[in-house]
Amino acid sequence: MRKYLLLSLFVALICTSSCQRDDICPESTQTTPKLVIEFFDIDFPEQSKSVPRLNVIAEGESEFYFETTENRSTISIPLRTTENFTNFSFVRNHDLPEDSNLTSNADEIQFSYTVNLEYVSRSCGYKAEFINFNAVLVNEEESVNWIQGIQVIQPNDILNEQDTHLYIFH
Amino acid sequence: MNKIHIYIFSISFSLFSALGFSQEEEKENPIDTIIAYKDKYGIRAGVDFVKLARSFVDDDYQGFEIMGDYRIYKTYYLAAEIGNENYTYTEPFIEANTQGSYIKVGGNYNFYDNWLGMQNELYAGLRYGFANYSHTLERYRVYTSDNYFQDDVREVYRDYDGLTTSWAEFQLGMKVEVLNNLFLSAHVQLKVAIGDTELDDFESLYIPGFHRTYQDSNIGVGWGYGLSYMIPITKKDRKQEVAN
Repeated sequence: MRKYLLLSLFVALICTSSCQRDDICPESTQTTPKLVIEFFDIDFPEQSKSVPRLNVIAEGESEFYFETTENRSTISIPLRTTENFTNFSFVRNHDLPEDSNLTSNADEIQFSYTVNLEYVSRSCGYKAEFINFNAVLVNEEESVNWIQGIQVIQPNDILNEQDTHLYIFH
Repeated sequence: MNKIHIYIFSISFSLFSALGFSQEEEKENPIDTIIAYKDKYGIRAGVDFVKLARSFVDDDYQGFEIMGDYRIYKTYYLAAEIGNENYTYTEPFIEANTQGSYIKVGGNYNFYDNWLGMQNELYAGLRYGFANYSHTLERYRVYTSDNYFQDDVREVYRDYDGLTTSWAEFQLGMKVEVLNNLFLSAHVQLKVAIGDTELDDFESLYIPGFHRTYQDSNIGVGWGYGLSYMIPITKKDRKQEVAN
């Protein structure tokens, strides 16, 4: 009898430990963070202000990042890990209906950083962290910038997505 | 929490099955005959034929294991395995290679009551395992939660040499004498690594002899199949009481 008890315990142990799945990267794991941006009112800098019909596109890409164009007050966008910079175009009033009397306006911000690669786990592999992050708004000469100010939050390292990394005032 | 539930379930399940077995009543028969026979003692040596076969079939795997045991007392055996593995594995974001050798030493206890000089085994074994190995992290793709930008694949070919791991291993298996002195065996392994498997900016995902590691755990599992031959050295006289 003792041998059967031993055998069933052993089989049970093997089953529970090997059935533990660790080959899918869990969403709760901090992997490569995105750049978190919050939009504020230029006149009331404490007050969140959403951007009408906002979408973004990275330089060198042919498609906009967001599938749908919406009013947004907070966005998370990816940064290139192959380079130490990513230039993004922030488009206000993107993809307007034909009868609209508003005009679309695109402003460019250049992000620069140092990519730091770090091992996470078997299923998540390696993540990137963006150290010494900086942002520069490109001033347009021919038209008006809808973005009136930007502020990089200190410390300027992008390590997770819980913190906001950049404020944009408009 | 969920894992605890699984454990409780499996333990109660095994208790129930054990209860079921214990209900078989043993009939008492008077002893009529005492038969004398010879019990063979010797060195048994063999190979893991599944590891050999896999080396031919699987391009990413080369490995062998030699196993041996020596019977020291009725149901007690000294046992050891030595082996070498060279394995290239692909994870969703990582490709790496591990190669190295291992040795396991310990003993087996046979709890199967043989009938008149037969030498089959149902055994439990304990081993101390030790592996000496190296990894090559060949390439990885930087993890991203979306694929807006093109994949960032880094070819690194970074070596981690001179690594060692020790572990304690519990085995449960059976050996069946299929021809005179020729045995087929199968066993399962449960092991606990001593020390952690973390490395500088990487970790040991595979260890020769220990097999795959699990995240946040030092438990390993495995199995083996053997074909071995026993070279008899001594024979001991035994008697068995037989009921008619």
